[in-house]
Amino acid sequence: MLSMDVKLLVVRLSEVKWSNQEDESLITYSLGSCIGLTLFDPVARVGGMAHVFLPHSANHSKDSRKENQMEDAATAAKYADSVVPYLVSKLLEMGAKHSRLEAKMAGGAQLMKGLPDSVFDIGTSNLRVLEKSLKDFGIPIVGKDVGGDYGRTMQLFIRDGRVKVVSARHGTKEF
Amino acid sequence: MTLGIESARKVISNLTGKQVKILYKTGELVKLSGIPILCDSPEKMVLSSYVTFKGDEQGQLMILFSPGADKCLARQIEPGFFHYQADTDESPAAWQELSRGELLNSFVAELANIIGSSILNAMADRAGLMIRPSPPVLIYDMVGAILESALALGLSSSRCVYVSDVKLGFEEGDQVFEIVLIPKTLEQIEPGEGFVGCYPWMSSCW
Repeated sequence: MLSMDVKLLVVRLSEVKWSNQEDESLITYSLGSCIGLTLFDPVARVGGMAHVFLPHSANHSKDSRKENQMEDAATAAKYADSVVPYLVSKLLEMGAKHSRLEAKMAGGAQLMKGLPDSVFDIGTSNLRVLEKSLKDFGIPIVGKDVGGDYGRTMQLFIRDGRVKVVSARHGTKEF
Repeated sequence: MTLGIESARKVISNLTGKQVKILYKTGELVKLSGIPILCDSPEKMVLSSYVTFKGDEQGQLMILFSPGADKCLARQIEPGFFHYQADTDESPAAWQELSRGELLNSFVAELANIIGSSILNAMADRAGLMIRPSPPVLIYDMVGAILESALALGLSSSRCVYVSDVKLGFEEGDQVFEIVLIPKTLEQIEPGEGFVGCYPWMSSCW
């Protein structure tokens, strides 16, 4: 379904990974309400991907007890309001320039439509928080495939920064 | 849980007019990535029934039907109606089209309702809890997307869920579905942290 002529680095739920190897590709499977976020520097060819689970770290007491450990990748990647600074810092360490970073997103769907008490659309909340965070950091969003009511798999090619998004019901998109 | 599964088995047996056996069942607290159906491929398309429940205990209950399981179960009830589709369309795309059919969806929703209600009723009766389930919602999509959305909706900070694998045996072969139970308060614990001690209502039912 997705290109297999590269070495795949799988980004799991609440994980963040990065690479500067042109023969590598970052992939995250079956995004639902979660959002796959990629940041890429097209000159340095450095890119990273996060599988963002929830909008706000402050809403979760268990993780907020770890405030002093926000450097922890799993915690940083889990929340939309903490993932951008963490991923940016990692890419800068690998030679990326902040001013050249470009963002792409996929996911943020609402699969559980129809529940009487599904008043909270996690996907949309994730999206809004991420967009604000990217804006605050001055990083443009150059491509996205978000919303709807279906799952997606997202893949970033370090070679050229291309992102491929595959869904079972809505085909493949590239941007 | 055992009582609930047994109750569901009896209802399905009465519904189909055929002997139905519980061939195996397991129940354990596992990491999300450890859910058996998810280990094969998070992109696997499954049909899922999803309900939330409130009351003395809150949480979510999902029944994930493996590809083909719903068709087989449907054949047990209405062999004439489902015969053509079941014998000619086995590709994922065809299965998707078939799964979208109103009648089959309605049947699977009812079947899931039977199973889910049986389990929740057994838990409530055995442990003296009041549990109010929502009407079931059917979702056909990637199994990983369904599971992560359910966890997010429950605002769970846990990375583990309670999973039960159940195999029902029919005359024409065995079919597998999986039951995923996510109690709201599960987010307080992780695997190996005294799960049974925290959930006497669940251990007494299993």
